[in-house]
Amino acid sequence: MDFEFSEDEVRFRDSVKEFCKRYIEPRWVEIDEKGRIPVDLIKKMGEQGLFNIPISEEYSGMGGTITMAAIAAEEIAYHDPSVATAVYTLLNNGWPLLVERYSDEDVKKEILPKVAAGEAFYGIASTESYGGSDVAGIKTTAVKKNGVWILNGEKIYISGIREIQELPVGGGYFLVAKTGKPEYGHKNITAFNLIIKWNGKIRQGWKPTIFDEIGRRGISTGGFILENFEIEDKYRIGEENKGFYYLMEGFNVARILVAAATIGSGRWALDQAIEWIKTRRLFEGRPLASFQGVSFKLSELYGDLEAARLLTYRAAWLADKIYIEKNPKWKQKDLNIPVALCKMKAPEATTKIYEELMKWYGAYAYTKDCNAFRGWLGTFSYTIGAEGAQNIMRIIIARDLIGREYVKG
Amino acid sequence: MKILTPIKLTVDISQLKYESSGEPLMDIAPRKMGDSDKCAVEEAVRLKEKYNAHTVAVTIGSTSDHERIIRDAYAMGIDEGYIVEVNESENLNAITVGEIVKSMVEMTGPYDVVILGAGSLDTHSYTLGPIIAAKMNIPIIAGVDSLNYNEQYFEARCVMEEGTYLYRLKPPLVVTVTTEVNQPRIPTLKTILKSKKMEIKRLKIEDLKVKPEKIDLVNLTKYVIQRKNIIWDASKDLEKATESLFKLLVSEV
Amino acid sequence: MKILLYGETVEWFKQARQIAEILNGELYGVVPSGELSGEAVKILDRTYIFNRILYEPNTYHKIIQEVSEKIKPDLTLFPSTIKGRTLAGLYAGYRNEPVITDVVDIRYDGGELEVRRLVYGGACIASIRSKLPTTLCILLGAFKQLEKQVNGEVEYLKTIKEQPIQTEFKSSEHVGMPLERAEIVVAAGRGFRKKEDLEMVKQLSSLLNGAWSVTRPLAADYRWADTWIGISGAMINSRIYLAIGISGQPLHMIAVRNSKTIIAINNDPNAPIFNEVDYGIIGDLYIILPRLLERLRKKQ
Repeated sequence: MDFEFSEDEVRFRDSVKEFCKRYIEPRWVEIDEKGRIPVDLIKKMGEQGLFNIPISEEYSGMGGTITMAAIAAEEIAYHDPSVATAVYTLLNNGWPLLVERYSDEDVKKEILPKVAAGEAFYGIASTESYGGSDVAGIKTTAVKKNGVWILNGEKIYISGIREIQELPVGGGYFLVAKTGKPEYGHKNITAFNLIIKWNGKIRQGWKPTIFDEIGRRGISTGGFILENFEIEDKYRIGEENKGFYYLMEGFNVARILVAAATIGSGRWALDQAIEWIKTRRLFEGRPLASFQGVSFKLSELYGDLEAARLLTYRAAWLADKIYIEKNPKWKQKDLNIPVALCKMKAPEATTKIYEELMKWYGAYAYTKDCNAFRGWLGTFSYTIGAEGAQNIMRIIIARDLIGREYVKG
Repeated sequence: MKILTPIKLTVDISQLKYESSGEPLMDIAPRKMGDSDKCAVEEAVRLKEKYNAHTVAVTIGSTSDHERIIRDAYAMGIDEGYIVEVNESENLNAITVGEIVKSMVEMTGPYDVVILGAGSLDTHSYTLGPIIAAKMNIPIIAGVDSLNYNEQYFEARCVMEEGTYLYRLKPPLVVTVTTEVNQPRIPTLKTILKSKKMEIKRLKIEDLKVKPEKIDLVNLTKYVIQRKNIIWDASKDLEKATESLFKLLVSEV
Repeated sequence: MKILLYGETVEWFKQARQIAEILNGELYGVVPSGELSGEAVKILDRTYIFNRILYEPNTYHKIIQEVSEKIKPDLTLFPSTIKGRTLAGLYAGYRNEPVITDVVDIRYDGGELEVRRLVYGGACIASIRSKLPTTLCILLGAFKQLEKQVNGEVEYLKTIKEQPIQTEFKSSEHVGMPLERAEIVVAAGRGFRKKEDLEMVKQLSSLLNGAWSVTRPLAADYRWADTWIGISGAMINSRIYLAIGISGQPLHMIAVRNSKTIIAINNDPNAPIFNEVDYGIIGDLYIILPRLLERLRKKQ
């Protein structure tokens, strides 16, 4: 077992750190306050090669690994603790991997270079107002007619609504819709590269709205209605009615990267805390850090964050073995517990650090002069359902530990 | 055009820690390519991109960190890299370093221009560039913050306290650059992965026929200037603070 | 001992005079023509004056080298400025002798020199031994200025009429006393909100008979001035350094640490500069400066 990053990973991490210090750190508060990652920054990130990291160079990827994508997500979140920029990054690293693995050759060559360049957005559209956790219960339908799929339905709490409209080329989603008989349960879902806008042209039948979110505001969240939206069959991802399985793969990668992002934000919060408790003095000039109630708590918070971090990179390592190396020693189901664990633990460890940090700051944290609240609200989203509800993670873990027959959900 | 960029593995002084005796803990201090050397590499790569120059980097020292900075130079776009193997290269005196570079130039040159950082962050003597120029017997322009080439001559700008100088001269020459000259590019994952596969050439100091001379260092200790640290809080008593400062300035003038 | 210097300011000649006194040496100097050379003649044992062409290191070096071959000095001194260190490097490189920069102390004992120099940005001090002949770059302000009049001999060097290397020069717009000669330096940092607010700093420096400048971001980023403290690695060596609205970042502090007394005004009590001051005021510069200026004007 080697608990060190490889030399490539260290050098890559250093390069991401430098990029973030130069281009992201100075703007992160503005990104959160104004609720927008500037288009020129997204383009710069594309030029720096921060998207499509685990995709092979043949399809304009960086020839890297999921671990490296996690490293990038972590560092970007450290420098934008609201995690908006990190979330933008991880979406455009995780879901394009599914495009590479299961899409039509021409479609891959069409979509992936533009995502790599930061000119098109590629995200995930699975959640519906009926429910997010209950994927098998989605109601959006896709019906094939003369080689074209016609989609009707609605998706909600989807990232990237505004970005697709603002970026020069546009973008779309890994979208799942019902294509078979309802009796088949989850075996009747098909996945699509749902290209909404490409080279400036928006397809008919897409009606978007944008929500006003309390945190992670730099990346847009909203919903859309599909009204007889048409997409050619070549944009289908993989086989018909197998979409559920591809979706689970995508969630595996996305959840690891989300965990990494929240950890980056948590690390920032921890560094702010350490700086604050050393300099803040009270009761005859004693620094906060000299109170054991404070320093003991810091140690516990650090322990939980480190534990979550190790869980995350272990999951990333395993995901690389399965999806990048395609090592037959491991199967996809081996990822169930590692992914659920890191997604469950990381955001919780992070939000606890923010809560404690803000208690140590006192009233100062309640004003916008203090930026801690931005990190708190941003990462909090991942404890209340984003990218996989915490209780779903518990179900996944329990199922593997105890057995499906006991765990109904 | 052929360009040489000597780069130095410098101590990251922002991370320096000390014994209680005041002796700096040199063994554990992290080392990196200095900022002004990065700017020199960037300047060389820009010339390569514009004028199809061949760029070479060289560093002196045998540790794995030295290998790392050559690979970092590759990841920025340098074509060829050399390591000159010397033990304890950090203690070499500047004249020896200059001779090593000159000897390396004779072996691998000729070069049209030698570009390096004006002064390193750790020893900041600003003398290596001029020493190299002296050993090679070619002109130097030091402390350049803007460098242009028009296929005939170089135009170099130096900002000094009294004003700005603009020099024009033909190669060969030595140029030392400040961190104002450019913003170095950040290596991407692709260039980092590629740099791992590139060969690094190694030269022994014996082959260069240079006798290494070390600095006769007697002592190295933390420089502590005891300051009075008298602080007045104007938010508590504005009058007192202002009056105290006024009295202080008036008495000292 | 024969000591040769190159210099451009009276303050430097006087400091070199002090060094010559400590080492019991004869002080020779290469000096550009003009009002300065008249001052040099009073201080040095022998002054070599050359026609002041525009500064360009290679040509200036040749001039110094020629004089050096005539008198064969044991020790050659340059100020530890960018110019000084560039010329020192060329000089020592051609003569193949050691060169040590940022020197703050010199001792000569039994045929060997022992010097102390600042290193690691001023965080550490190193003691180094060196045999003669040696070249040293002296940190200005490290040695006292010795007021000793010698009225030595003069030699005028062969005139160079034209610049061998094409050189253009544009004087800096920065008005006021040069930092090098000031006893008091007032500096403005990012605590200032507008370029116009620097007027207060200019007035303050004028009332105190000192010099003023800005930190790097105000010049390089905001473009409120065309030169800044620490430009080209130059260090301040004034008696008083007053930092207003400056947080005290390491790169800035390297350039000012050598001042005898450091004073700061900043409204952030956690600003790192407060760890390195002799006197500090925690407060709003926009409230304190006008009051201070009024007080100083009243006194006048």
